[in-house]
Amino acid sequence: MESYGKIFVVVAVLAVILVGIFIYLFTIDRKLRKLEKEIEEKTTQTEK
Amino acid sequence: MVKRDWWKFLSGGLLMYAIVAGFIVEVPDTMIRETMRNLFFHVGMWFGMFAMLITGFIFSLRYLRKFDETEDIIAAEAVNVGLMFGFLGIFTGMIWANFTWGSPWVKDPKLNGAAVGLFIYLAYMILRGSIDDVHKRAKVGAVYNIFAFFLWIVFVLVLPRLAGESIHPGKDSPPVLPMHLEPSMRIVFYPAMFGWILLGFWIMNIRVRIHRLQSKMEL
Repeated sequence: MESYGKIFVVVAVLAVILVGIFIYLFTIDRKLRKLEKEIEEKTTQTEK
Repeated sequence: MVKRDWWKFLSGGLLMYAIVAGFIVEVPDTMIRETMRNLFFHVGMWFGMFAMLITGFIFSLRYLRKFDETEDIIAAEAVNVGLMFGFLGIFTGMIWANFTWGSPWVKDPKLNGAAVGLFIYLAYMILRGSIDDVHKRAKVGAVYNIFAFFLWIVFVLVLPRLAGESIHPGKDSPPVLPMHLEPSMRIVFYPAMFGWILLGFWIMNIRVRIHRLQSKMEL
């Protein structure tokens, strides 16, 4: 690894940003799934 | 794929350009060497956060004018995405600091100000979460959000400049214009910042749509 230029610091920063955004997207995904379930329950209720 | 989605592709294109050009572009040979390239990524987090907080501020003001719940939803989700950027900004800053200053956290007005700024907005989320009544939550939230925005400006943009000595660069130029940047870096820097901001708006947009559906379900 090129320790003189410390380019790996830049790679680490980019990796952290990518992981962070992915974790955040997963929380949004979970939120949406919960909502989908709720909507489904409500529509089956009204069909009865 | 809809025609009005063009700006999402623009965001992706700009960020792609930022990553590729960000690694290729010549950076001046200073003490921090290649890590100078972090400017395109670490600083992008703060640009993203600032854009989100301004959006939140504007929509909180708009909410207080007509008490339209949809505007409060936008304000809340903008702050939420802003917090994501804020935390990423702190974490990436800690990595960078660890290699340049030898420690992930140094006692510096800029760093401490940024941390206080994050707590101010975390308090906004907690405040909203603690109020069950929708209208009350929106009103109290909007008032606090306007207050929080000014506090954030003071702690992140004003006080570090007044404090004098700071190890963190970016103190001598206006907040959004790094005047001392090399022209070759500028043509990467500004598109990169714009790309991060657009990405923030995209995520915010998705969150707002989910939130709207949720509030419709509760009716």
